[in-house]
Amino acid sequence: MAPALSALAGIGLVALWSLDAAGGAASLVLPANLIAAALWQGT
Amino acid sequence: MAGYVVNGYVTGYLAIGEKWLVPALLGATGLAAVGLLVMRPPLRTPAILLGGLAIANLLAMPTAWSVGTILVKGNTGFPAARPPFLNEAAETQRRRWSLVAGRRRARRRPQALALLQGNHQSEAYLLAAVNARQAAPIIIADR
Repeated sequence: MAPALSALAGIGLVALWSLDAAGGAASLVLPANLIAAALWQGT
Repeated sequence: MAGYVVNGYVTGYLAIGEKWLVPALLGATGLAAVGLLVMRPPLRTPAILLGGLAIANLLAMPTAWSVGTILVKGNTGFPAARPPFLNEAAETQRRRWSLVAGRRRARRRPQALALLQGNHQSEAYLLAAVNARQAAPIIIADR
């Protein structure tokens, strides 16, 4: 299952990076995801 | 009771001795995320560095747990992934819950054996068990 999940993570990262570069409200998604992932790990 | 055992095990599993880890993880990742937010328009190299820093932070603990599982002296009857830096209290808690979980599984053994023996017609079968402690008595009884 790890290869499939890794591929999905890579696809998601590229999509988030594109949203961040596009600007506007969509650029909030990448930082919000990073913070959400950190909070999820920390709890 | 089963929920109590599971909760206790999970609590012991997550009990990490180092109190600075979670604030450090949240702080470093949060700073990188804020940096990405305030840098408008995003500059390529700093954005890559900040994004890389945040992702490296997020991967640090899973990596430590993976390495720690290999490095630490574990309980062979109840193996589990774990960080390499448990304190004394967390270590004791884990040992206690691994014993409780092992005893509960041992008590279930007659039911599992009755089910296995009553529902096959001498054919070969595969049995999946969560650990060696659960599997060993069934293997012996099935010989």
